[in-house]
Amino acid sequence: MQFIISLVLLMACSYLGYAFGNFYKLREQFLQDLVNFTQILKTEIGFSKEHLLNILKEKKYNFRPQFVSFLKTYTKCLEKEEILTLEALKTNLTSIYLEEKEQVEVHHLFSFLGTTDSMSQMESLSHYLVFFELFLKDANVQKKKYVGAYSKLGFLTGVFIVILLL
Amino acid sequence: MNFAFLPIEVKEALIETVENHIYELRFRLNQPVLVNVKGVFYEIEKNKLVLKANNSLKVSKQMLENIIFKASSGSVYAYTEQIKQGFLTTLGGVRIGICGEVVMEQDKVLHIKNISSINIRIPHEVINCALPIFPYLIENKSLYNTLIISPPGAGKTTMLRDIAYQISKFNTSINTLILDERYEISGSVNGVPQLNIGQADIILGGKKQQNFEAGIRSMSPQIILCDEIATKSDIEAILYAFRCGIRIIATTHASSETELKTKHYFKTLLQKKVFNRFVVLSNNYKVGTIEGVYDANFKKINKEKSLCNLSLV
Repeated sequence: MQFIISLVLLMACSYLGYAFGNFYKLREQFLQDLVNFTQILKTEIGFSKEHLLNILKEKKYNFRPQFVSFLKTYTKCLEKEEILTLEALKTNLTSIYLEEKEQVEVHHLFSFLGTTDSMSQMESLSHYLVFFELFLKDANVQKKKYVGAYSKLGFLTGVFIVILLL
Repeated sequence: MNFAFLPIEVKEALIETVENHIYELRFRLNQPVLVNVKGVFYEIEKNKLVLKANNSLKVSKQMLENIIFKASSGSVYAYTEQIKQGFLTTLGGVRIGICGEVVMEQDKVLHIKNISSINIRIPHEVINCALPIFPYLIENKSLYNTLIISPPGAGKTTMLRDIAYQISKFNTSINTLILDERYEISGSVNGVPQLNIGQADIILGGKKQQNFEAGIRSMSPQIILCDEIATKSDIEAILYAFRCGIRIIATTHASSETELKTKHYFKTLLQKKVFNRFVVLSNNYKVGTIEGVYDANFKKINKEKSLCNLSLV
């Protein structure tokens, strides 16, 4: 019985460590998709001048679920012909570790999209792409640093608790 | 008609108005919203149309920006080329004329900023409105080169659109090409005509001269229809098509055939007798009053003044 409890505790602590680390992974993935999407927008807006709704609905991209869910919120706003609010964005981003400044930049971009001529849109997209790439770089460093660390920390905490129990 | 892009207060005011009776809506910054119903301008007060309002709905900068944003389905950039020319065509062929500060660089328009006025013109598709003049335009199995003359808002484009439709009814084997520079003739949205133009090929946007050359090369048309010829390059394009043996039906702004003769650029066209028929429209009695159909020597060939019933009243 004691063995089973120890094993469960060890597994629970390891999972918690993994879950904490996973947030950094999700953040990095979200930002990677964001960078890819911004590059797609640059092409679609600059060259084919496709409507935003068509870009969002008709094109099939391999984005991860968290970014797809964010795009759905944005699509709903566009369908209602509304501009994306920071509140709507935050509601959708609660499960993702985007820092405050990152959320603000994402909001700025998505509330600006479609509101001006193609030249201004392209300029802005280039500007935001630089920001997002920096965020991604930072997220990459954090992921490398914390994903392994949290997993190890979780496992070690589990071992420590098991030793204490024993 | 799809008025989804209009502010809610305006939409509510228009509910009780017969859709076809609305000619245009004018939004001027800090001025009352004006709705032209059958030629009479109304203001909006408490979501109702009134002739003279004490507390009328005024136009704000935000209102103008929202109209443009919504009319472009949230993608203003997709209409950059149209906006540079001062308009935007939205669903149903509704044309939104835009006034503001023109941003230029090296003689080229980059954009229009600080939009100050919007004029929303509601297109009126009037099937068979060209019937009173159509017999005068027929020459054997084709049509005479025809120029429709009228002041703005007298129904030139509506007439031209119906001529395109009548041509395909008259002879379906005629290759008709429409050069729709401002998307007004076909009211096309995403390449799909929203108005009845019969069986015709359409080139949307672009410049007349390029479109004439490209259209003649690629579509081998027998008749070309185009709206509002005004500049030297437009005249050159017409002459190019004329020399290629293509029939042309075009429109231009002038109040009468006499005024047309005074236009510098048109002198060559008139001297070379490019056009064999001139149709003069006016607003004298109602929108679309046919003042006369004239031959190449400006001799009136129709018997009396008639109405082509463009006013829909």
